[in-house]
Amino acid sequence: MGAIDSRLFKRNSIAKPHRQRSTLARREEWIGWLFVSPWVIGFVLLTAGPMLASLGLSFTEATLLSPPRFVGLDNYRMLFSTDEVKSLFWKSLSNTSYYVFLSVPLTVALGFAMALLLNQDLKGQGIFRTIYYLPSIMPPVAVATVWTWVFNKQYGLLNAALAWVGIEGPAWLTSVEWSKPALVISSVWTAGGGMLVFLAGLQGVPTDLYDAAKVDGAGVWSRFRHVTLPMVSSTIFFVLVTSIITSFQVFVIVFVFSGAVGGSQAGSLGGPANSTLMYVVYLYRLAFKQFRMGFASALAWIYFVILMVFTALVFKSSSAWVYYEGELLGGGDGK
Amino acid sequence: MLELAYLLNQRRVKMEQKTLSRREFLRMATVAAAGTVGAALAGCAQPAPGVVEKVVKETVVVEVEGTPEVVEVTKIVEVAPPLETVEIVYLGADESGAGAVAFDVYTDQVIPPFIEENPHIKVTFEPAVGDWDDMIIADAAAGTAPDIFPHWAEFGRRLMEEGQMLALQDYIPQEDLDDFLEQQLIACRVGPSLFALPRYISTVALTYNKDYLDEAGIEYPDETWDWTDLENALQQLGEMGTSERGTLFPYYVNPWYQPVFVWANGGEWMNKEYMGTKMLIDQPEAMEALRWQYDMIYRHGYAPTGEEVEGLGWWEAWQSGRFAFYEGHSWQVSEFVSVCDWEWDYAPLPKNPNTGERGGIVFNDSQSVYAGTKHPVEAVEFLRYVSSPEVEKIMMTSVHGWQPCRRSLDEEWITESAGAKAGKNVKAFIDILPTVRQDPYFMNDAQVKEIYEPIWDQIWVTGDIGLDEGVQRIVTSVNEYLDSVA
Repeated sequence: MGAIDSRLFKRNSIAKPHRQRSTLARREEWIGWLFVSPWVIGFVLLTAGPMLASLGLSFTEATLLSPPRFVGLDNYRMLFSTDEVKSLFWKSLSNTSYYVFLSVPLTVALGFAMALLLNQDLKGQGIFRTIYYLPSIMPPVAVATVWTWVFNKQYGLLNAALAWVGIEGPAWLTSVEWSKPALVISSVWTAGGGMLVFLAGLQGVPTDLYDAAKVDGAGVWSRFRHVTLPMVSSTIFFVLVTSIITSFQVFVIVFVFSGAVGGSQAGSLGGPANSTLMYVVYLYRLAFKQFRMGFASALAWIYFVILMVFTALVFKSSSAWVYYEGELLGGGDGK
Repeated sequence: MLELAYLLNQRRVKMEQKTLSRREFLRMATVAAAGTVGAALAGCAQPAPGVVEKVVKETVVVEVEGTPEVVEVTKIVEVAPPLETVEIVYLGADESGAGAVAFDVYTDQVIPPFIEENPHIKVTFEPAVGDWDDMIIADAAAGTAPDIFPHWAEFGRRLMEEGQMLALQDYIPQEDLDDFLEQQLIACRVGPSLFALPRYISTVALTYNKDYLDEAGIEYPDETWDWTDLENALQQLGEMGTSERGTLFPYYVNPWYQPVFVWANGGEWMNKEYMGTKMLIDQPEAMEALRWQYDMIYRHGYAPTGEEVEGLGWWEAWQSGRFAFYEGHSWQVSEFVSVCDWEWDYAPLPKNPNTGERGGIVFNDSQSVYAGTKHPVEAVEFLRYVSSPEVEKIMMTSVHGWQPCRRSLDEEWITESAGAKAGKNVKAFIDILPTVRQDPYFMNDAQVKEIYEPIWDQIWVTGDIGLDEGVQRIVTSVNEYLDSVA
C-alpha cells in the first residue's frame, strides 16, 4: 500500500464522528417531538387555531351562523367608544378592575395568613389544611348559589351577623353600590388554593436561617420580614400572577348572582343595572345573546393584550422584590 | 423412502403453491357455471331489486259472444318500493321542572305512535337539558343541530333570522294553520315565510291565594273585576305581616310583562305589532298604566321592592306562598298544582276601568325544523305530528300541562288539563285569548334590551331612578339607536 493521503484520512476522521453525533442528535430530537406531539397537536387545534380564527373574526361582522363580512377596524373603533349604547367596554373594564384590585390582595393575603398559621407544628395540621382547602375545589355554581343565600338582605348569614353588632346590612345583590363588594367578599372562598401553595413555600424555608436570625437577636416580626418574606417571595409572585389571571376571568359567580337579582332573567346578566357586568360576562352577552361574534372577538383580543401588559408589569416589578435562592447562592447574575 | 418423501414434498409444495390440475380446474368451472346459471334463473323468477310485487284482484267487464260479462281477474302489479329508513333527531324540552318523568312523555307516549305509522323514520329523542339554547347555537354553527328543536323568544327569533330554520310554507297548507292563534304565528314568520309552529300557548291570568283572602274577608276575583277592584282588595289586605314562609305581600309586580297593562289602558309598547322600530312607552296611556304598577311598589307598598324578594325569581314567586295575588302563566299550572299546598285559584286579569279592556299576552314558544336537516320531508312530517291535536292533548294532560295552541282543543283544556282536574278555573286562560297580543319584539331586539334593561333594573329592582326619568331615558336611547340602524 502506498502512503495514505492525509487529507482523506483527515476528512474521514472528521466526517465519521460528526455523522454519528448528528444522527443521534436528530434521532433524539425526533423522539422528543414525538413525546410532546400530543400536547402540540392539542395546542394547535384547540388553542392556537381558535385564537387565530378569533383574530380573523375580530375584523368582521360575524354571527357564526352566516358568512362573516369584513369590516376592517370598525369593531375596534366601536369598542373604545364611551357611548354606552355602542359599547360597554369601559364599564365592564372598570367593574373588572374594581374586582381584581380588591379581591386579589384579599385572597392572597388571606391565603398567606392561613398558611402561616398552618405552618406551626400543630396536631391535626392535616385536617385543618383539608378544611381550608376544601372550599376552593367545590363546584363554582354550587358555591355561588350558597353565597346568594349568605347575602340575602332579609335572611342571609352576613346581615344576621352584622345585626348582632347593631349594623343594618345592605341589599347586597340588588343594590348598585353593594353588588361589587359582595362579589369581592365571595372571592375569599378561593383563598384555600393559594394557601396550599404558600404552605409548600413556607415549608421550604431552611430552618437554619431562622436559627441564625434568632442568634442575631431578631424578634418574631424581624424574622418574618427579613427571612420569611424574602424566602417565599417567589411563591407570593407565583400566586399573585395566577390570582390576577383567574380574577380577570370572573364569570360563574356573576352568572348566578344575576339570576338572584329581584326576579330578573338572564337578560339582565351583570345586573342590577350593569353594576356586576364583568369583562368576560360582557363578552358572553355579546357572543351568545346578541350573536355579535366579530365584536366579541375584538373584545377578547383587547383583553388578551391588557392581561399580557398587566402580567408583564408584574414580572418587571418582580426584580425589585422577588428573590430566588439560586441568585442568593451565587448563581444567575451572582448578585 | 427418499422418493416417497420427495413425492410427498411435491404434493405439499403444490398445495402451498395452489396449483390446479386440469381435472380440478374443470370440476370447479362446472360448479361455478352451474351456480351462475342457477342464480340467473332464480333472478328471473324474482322482481327487480327494490320493486315490490302485489297480487290484486280486479273486476273487469268483458264481452263474451257479444254479451258483456263481469269477471274477476287476478294480476300481479308492481308497487312503490319500501322507503329507505332515515333517522331524525328530536330535541324535546321540559318547562314543568318534573325532570326525567317529563322526558319520558316524549319517549313513551309521543314518539311511538309516529314510528308505528312511519316505520321508515327512526326518531332519536334528545332531552333539552342544561344550557341547551346555547348548545343549539353552537350545533347550528357546526351544522349538527337536531332536526327538530324547540325555541322561544329572542333566541329562537334570532336563529330564524339567521336562516337556521327550514321554511315550512311549501310543506304545510294554510288550512292546517287556521287552528292556531294568528298572534302566535306572527312570531313564527319572517316576511311571508313560515319557519316554526307554535309549541304551546303561554298566557297570563290572575292567581289568588284563597286562604289570605278568606282571612281578610275579601271576595274572590271574577271576570267582572277591574283595576279598581284589585286595588281595593290590595288595600284591604294591607300589611300582611310575616309567616314561616317570610314576609307576606298582597301583590307581586312582574317588571317584565308590563305590556299587558299598557295595552289594556289603550297604550302601545311599540309602533308595530312585531319587529317594532319605535318605542312608545312614554305616551300618556302607557305611562298611566306603568304608573299604576309603579305605585303598587313604591307608593302603596302592596308589592315588594327588588331587595325584599332578593333571590326569588318571578317564575317562582307564587310557589313561595308569600303573595295574595300574582300574575300566573299557563305553563306554570302543572307545577303550581303539584307544589302549592294552600287553597288558590285563577281568575281573568282585571279589566281596565277606563277602557273596559283586558290586556293579554302570548309568547313565541315554538318548534322548527333545522335548515340543515338531511331529511326535510321526514322532519316536517314529524313536526306536523308533534303539532297535531293528538300530541298537544298528550302534552296537555301529562306532567308538562301545556296549554294547547290549537283552538280546537280549548274545551279539553277547560275540562281535562291538570289544572282542570285539580278544580282550578283554567278557563281564565281561554277567556283572555281574544285579546292577547304577541310579546313585544323590536328590530335588533338583543341590542335594544342591552340599552333599556339596565335602566329598567334601576326603576323596578333597585329603585334608584324614578319612573318618569327612567322611561324618558329609555325611550330616548332606544329610539336614537333604532333610528341609527333603520
